[in-house]
Amino acid sequence: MKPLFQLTRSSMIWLLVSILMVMIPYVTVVPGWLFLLAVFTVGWRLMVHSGRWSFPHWSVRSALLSLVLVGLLFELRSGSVMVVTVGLLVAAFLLKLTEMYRRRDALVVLYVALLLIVCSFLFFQSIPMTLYSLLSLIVVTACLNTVYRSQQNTDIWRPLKRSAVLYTQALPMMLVLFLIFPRIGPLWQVDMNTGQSFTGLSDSMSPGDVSRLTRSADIAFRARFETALPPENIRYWRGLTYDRFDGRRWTRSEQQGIEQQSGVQSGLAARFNSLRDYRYEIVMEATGQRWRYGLDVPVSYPATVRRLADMTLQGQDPLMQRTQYQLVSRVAPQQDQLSAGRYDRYLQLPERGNEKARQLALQWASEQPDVKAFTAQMMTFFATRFRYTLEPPLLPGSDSVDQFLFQTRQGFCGHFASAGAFLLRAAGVPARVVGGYLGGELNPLDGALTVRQYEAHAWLEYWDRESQSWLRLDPTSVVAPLRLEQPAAQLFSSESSFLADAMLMRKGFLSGALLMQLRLRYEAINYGWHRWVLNFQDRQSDFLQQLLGGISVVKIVLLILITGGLVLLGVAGSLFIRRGPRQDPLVSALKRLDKRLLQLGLQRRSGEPPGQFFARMEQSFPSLSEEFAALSCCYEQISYAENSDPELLAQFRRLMSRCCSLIPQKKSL
Amino acid sequence: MVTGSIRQRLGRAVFDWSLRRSPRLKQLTLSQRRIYIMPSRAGFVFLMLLLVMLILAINFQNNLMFAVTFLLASLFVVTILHTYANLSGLTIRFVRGHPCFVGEQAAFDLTLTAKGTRQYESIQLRLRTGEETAVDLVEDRQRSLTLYQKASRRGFLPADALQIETFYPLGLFRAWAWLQVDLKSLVYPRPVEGGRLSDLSGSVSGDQSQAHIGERHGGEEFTGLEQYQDGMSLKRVAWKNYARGQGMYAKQYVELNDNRRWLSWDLWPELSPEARISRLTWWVLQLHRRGEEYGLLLPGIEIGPDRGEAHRVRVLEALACFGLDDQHSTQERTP
Repeated sequence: MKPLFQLTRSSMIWLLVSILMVMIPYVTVVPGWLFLLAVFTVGWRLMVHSGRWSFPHWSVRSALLSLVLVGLLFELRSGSVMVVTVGLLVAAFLLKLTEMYRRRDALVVLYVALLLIVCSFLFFQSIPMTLYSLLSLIVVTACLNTVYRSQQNTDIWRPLKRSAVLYTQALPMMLVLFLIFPRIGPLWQVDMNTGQSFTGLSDSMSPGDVSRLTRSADIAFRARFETALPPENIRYWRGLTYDRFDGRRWTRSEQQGIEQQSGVQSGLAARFNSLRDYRYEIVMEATGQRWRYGLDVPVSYPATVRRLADMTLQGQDPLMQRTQYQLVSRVAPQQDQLSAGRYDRYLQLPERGNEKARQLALQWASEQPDVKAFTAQMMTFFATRFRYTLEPPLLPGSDSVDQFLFQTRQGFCGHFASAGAFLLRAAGVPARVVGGYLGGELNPLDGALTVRQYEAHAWLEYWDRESQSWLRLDPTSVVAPLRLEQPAAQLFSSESSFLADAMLMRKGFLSGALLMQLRLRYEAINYGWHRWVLNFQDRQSDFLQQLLGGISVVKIVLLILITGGLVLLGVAGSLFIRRGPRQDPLVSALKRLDKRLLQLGLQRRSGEPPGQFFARMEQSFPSLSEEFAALSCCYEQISYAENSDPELLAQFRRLMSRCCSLIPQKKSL
Repeated sequence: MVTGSIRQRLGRAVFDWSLRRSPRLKQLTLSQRRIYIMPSRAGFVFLMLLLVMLILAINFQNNLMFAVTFLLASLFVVTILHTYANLSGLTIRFVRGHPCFVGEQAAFDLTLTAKGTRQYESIQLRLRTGEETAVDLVEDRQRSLTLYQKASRRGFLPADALQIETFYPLGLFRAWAWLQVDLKSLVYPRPVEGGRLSDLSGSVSGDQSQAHIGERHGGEEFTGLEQYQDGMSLKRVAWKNYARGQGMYAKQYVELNDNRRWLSWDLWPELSPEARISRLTWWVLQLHRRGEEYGLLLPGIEIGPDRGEAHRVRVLEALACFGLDDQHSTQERTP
């Protein structure tokens, strides 16, 4: 079969550029062998274009198709459904290249390209990627334009310009639609798993896990306070609590993850107190987990999340996309009448193991009169004999707590929290390990706190029988007091493994004032992007309320109509009222005179030279002969001698208007 | 099938209606009164694509997807204006129709003129039964083009309705206009070979031929040379004299016998009228090619023997219109 529709050379060039641009973002997403397919099909298409080969036989095409399907089925076993679906789309896009007989086939390829550009936002949402996608859209549209051009038009850049103009004109209306279109919930449940992996806390923790996070400078979340910023030493962002210990790892028991906080807690319902309450908004990066971060005890939280019995927040689904929520937190002890069942759970320890630690705990318990004194002794113990380091020695034995407490005595926050909780439990005090973040870097440009992975932290909480509440205990604060006051970046800057995966963020690379400023600027922009664009649904109603002063259907329809109308008028104006080149002032002055003369039937004849015309006027209007002679002289000076003196032109105009005003009177006499 | 026929009937109705709104003019400028615009089939597919994108955006709660969907939707709307602008303001002048023979394509000349400095791309023109031609008006302000339409009957052939359409720039919309074309082409009869040369010679009946008896140029006897003039047959050029550098002379013959050819309606009584006309047409072409003099005798029409292009056209015109009850023919003959 021969192609009925031959792509022009410029079409072919733009098609190749489109394919390249559309495929590049998918390099990290879809399986690599799809790129072999891309090379194959694009290569074949080029050979067809150059006339050396014909399109592949249908048997080749169906063989390719079945290979692709089998390959994608294999991917389905390991990867996410979304990746496979997108992979299918990419494969269809590439295979269609090998059967382009009609204009319609070219359209299919380009429309699928548009769809692929849209789908790339499932995986990437940064500002540079968005700009890149916009560029891809312009290129694909340029290619669409070439398909509809006649064959003789071979200008290569023209379609790109045309496409850019179209998008510029489309932009205002897009903005209005974006602002106004109601953001309804998903129509049906979709699998949000894009197959990406996340850095961050996980639902089990062995003591060394947290220090691994300090290799990364990825952002965990950003917080922006409406109230005053909390002081640095209480910026404990709680994520989840671990209540089970198996001798090596801390995990969450099943109940921990589902137990909702029951009953109204006295004191929590009290009205907002600006001294201990903080109102803020969090933009949290995807974690693939259900918990949400919050400062200390959240007392007000959105309806989409639940508060668990341990005062942590939990969403309905694993967080696969950046999200945004408002919280009010109270920095205060957590009231909790611990039921018997839960009391036992927070005392759980393995049957045996770590005997020396147990003995130490029992010994302290017998020496000290109450829990407060017990914890004080424990903290002194940590403070005097232990060293805080990012690279502690490994604890390979079965009694890892013993090893840490009595042999290595070097550790990171996870080690201290874990050992502390162990000691407390061994002494009969309910305790749990908390995973979260400590700190946050203030960006002075937008007032937001940025919390990064390297600020991940673990501490412990124990239940105080006297006050019937959970109290925070952070052994790190005594081992490395600076950790609470200094940014983690400063504290760890000498350790080689710190930010090993993010060299650019290390001190020395970005510590220069200018670079620092640039980084803060970039982050502020990014934060605004996240709040205003990526999570616009959360602020749409506020925004419209402000803009329109109350939302009503009539107002929204009016807004759409008015803006749409204005934009279309503007576009129509630019399309239909194309001004020609600026008219020569001499010519326009002559035309004005001509208009007057037309009534008298003396107008300039076609092809009559100006000199001759003026001479004829001198004869027709003897009283104005001087003026016309002067006009003729001026005209010659300006147009033939190229005298560009503005005075001369002004004189010409003066004479002309004088003649214009005198001519009709002349006739009436 | 039913929907198809409804579509056809609807299309037909719209077509008729749009033609009624468009008077026959020599020249016209396209404006909103004549231009119709609708999403093309690709445009409807594009809308479906937008719907898919919107559903994706809603389901994934992805604001960038919303943004691109809305951007493409706005693009769709903006394209309406661009497609419309690609026709509006275009001036079409109907120049002339060229004669042809039955079975050939009749050609009609048009010129397109751009308005001001506006640019037009990929404008497709087509007579209703003819082939499509695409034109650009980017650098030049004016373009001439010829459209063709099949000629199946002799006589005057009015040009079909002209369709001007464009899908530019993105193929999402089709803007079109149907225009009445004020042009005609004269369709000569189809030449059909037959008869012998001997049938033609001197077969003239009395009174009609008397006016032409006497010495006439173009006979068989050589009498001398005369100055060559444009339009004389090259066969008569005295090439020997020319080769000697004496200038162009034509050999002069004197016709002693009355051997001018008369193409008469009565030559082949056994043929049907149309067949006779076709055969006469063939002989006109033959005799013209041989540079001979010939006359035409049809019932009620007599064209005296002569030669040359103007004569040929006159004879063919008479043959084309013979027996047709065609009011155009009389109108058209007055220039």
